[in-house]
Amino acid sequence: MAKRELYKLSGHWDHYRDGMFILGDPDDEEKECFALRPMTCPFQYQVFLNRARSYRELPMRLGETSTLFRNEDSGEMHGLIRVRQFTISEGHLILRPEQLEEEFKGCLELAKYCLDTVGMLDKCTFRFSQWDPANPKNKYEGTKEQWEEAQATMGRILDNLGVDYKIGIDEAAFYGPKLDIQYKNVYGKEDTLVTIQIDMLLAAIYGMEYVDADGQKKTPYIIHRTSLGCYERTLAYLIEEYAGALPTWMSPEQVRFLPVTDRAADYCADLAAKLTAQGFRAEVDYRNEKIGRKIRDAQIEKVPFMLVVGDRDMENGTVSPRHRADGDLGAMTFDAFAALLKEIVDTKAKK
Amino acid sequence: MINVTLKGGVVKEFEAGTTAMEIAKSLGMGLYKAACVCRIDGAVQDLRTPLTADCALEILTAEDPEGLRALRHTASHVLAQAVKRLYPQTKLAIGPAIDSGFYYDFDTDVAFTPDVLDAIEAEMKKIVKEALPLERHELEPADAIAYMEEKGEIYKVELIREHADKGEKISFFKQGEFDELCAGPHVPDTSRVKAFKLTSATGAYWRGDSSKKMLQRIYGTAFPKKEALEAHLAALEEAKKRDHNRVGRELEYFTTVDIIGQGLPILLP
Repeated sequence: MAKRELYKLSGHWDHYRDGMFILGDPDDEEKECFALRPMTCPFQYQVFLNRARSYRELPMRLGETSTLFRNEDSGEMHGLIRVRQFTISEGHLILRPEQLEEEFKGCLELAKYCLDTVGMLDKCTFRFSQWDPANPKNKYEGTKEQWEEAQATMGRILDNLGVDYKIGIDEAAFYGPKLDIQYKNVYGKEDTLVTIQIDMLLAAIYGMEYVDADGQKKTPYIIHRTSLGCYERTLAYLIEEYAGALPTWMSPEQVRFLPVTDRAADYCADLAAKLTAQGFRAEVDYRNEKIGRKIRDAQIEKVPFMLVVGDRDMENGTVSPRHRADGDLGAMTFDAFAALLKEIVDTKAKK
Repeated sequence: MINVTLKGGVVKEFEAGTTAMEIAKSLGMGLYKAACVCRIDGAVQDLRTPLTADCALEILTAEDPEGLRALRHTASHVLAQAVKRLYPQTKLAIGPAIDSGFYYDFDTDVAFTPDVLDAIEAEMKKIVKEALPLERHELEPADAIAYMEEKGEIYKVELIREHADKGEKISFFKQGEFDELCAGPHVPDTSRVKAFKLTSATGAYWRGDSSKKMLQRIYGTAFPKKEALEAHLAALEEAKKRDHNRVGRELEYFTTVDIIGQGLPILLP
C-alpha cells in the first residue's frame, strides 16, 4: 500500500479512485491517507529511481509476484475470475525507445510460452486495445500526438510479429495502448488473461531518466506485462479447460495408493514415501472403506493415477496403475511406474 | 405509390402506407412467418411500420442478429406481462435483450423460486398462444409520466424523466392489457416467441448502484425454433459441468468464506 500522494502522482487518484480500497479519509488533506495498491507499477519504479541510471543498464526488467487489491462491484464477483484481491506474476521493463520492439517481442513470446505450456494458448484471442479518440478526457492521460505515436508503434510491432488481432476502442489503459490476450469462460464471457502494455507517458511523470551515450538525460519507455496472468483467473480457466482434471504435472495430488486391505497399508506408505522423495505428490487412502468406494472417490476427485494395491501386488513387488482417462496400464514394477510418471511430469504432458 | 428497393436491388412498387409486414407477406409466407423486424434505409424498425416514401427495405429474420435481439426483447416483455398478471403489485424496472437471451428486473416481495418461475413460464406460454399484436404508440413526456404514475410504476417514471427534456415523444408498445415503455423494435406479435425458457433468478441493484434498492432479475433465453433452444440448453448444462465456480469448489481447489467476504477466495493446498 502507499500514501494517497503516490496515487495522485500516478494518476490512479483521478482515474481509478472508485476501484481502490482507501484507508482513511480521502478528502481530509490534513491527515494521512493510504490506499491498497491496485497496480504494481509505481512501486517497481522506485527500484529504478533508487540510483542514477545509465543507458547501459537498459533494458531493466523488473519482475514480481504481486498481490493487488481492486474494489470491484459486489455484483461483478465471480468465483476466481473476478475477485477483489489477486496475486499476479508481472513485470515492468524500462527501456530505451529503440529497444521497444525487441522487448515487446520477448514479452509476447514469454506469455505464449506460458499459455501454451498450460494448454490454454489455442483458445486465446488477441485484442489490440486502443484509446477512444472521441473521448480523450474520459479516462486517458497524454496528448493526441502521443497516443497516435504509441498506437502506430504498437500496430507496427504487432503486424511484424504476425499477431492476429482485433481492435478494441476505449479499451486501453489510461497511460497507453495494450495487447490483451483474451479468454472466454464456459458461458462465453470474455476477460483478459494476459496483458502487455506500451507506456510512453508515465516515466516522465515519475521523473525516471537515464543518461544516454551522448551524455544527455533521456526519458525511458516502459512495457507493463504479465506472463501467466494472475493465479486466480488463470486457475479458473484451467479448471474449466480441463473440467477439473488438471494435467498430472500441475495436479495437486498426482498419485493415490488405494490399499485393498490393511495388510497393504505399510507397502503403500513405503512406495508413497519413495515417490514423495522423488518430488511427486503422492497420497495413500488409509480409510477403512471398501475398495470400490476408494476407487470411486479417487475418480470423482480426478486424481490422475490410482494404484490399487492388493496381496498379489505385494507378493510380486509390483503396482497396477490406473490412469483416470487412459484406464488400466497393467502390472509393472514400481521403478517402471516411477519412470513413467517422471516422463509425464517432466514433459508436462496434457494427461 | 412508392418505390421500395428490396434485397438484391429488386425495386417494387407499393401503395404509400403499406407496412413492412404486408410487403413481407407479398414476398412469401415463409418469409412472413420467419420475419422478426426490418431495416428501413439502414435503421432497424418493427414490421408494423408503414412505409411512406421511397426507401430500401430489408426483412430480418432471427438469423440476423438484430432479428434475434428483437425476438428476445419481445420475450422479455412477455415475461414482464406474465409477472404483472400473476403478481399485480410488482413494479417493473428494465428488461433488455442481452448476448445470449434476455432478462427483466422486478421490484417485488415475491421470491422467484423454481416453482414460481415455472408458474411464470406457464403464463408466458398462455400469452404466446394469445398471439397478442405488439403495437407502438407515443405520448408526450408529461402524459407518459402521468400514465406511469397512475399505474404506480415508479422506475418507469424515473426513466421517462431522464428522457423528458430531449423534446421527443415517449414510445410504448401495447400487447393486450400490457403497455410497456420501450423504444423497440419488436416482433409483430407474441406468438413469435415460440421457443423460450427462463433460466435463473438473481438479485440486481437498480442502476447497478449498491446504494439503491435490490431488485430481482429473471434471466431467460429465446430462439426462433425449439431445436435451437434445446441445443442451447444442452450446451448450457455441459458448461455448468465445467464451471470452475462449481468444479473448483467441489474439487477443493478453492473456497470462499462468508466472514472473509465476497470476491476474496482462499486457495486450498
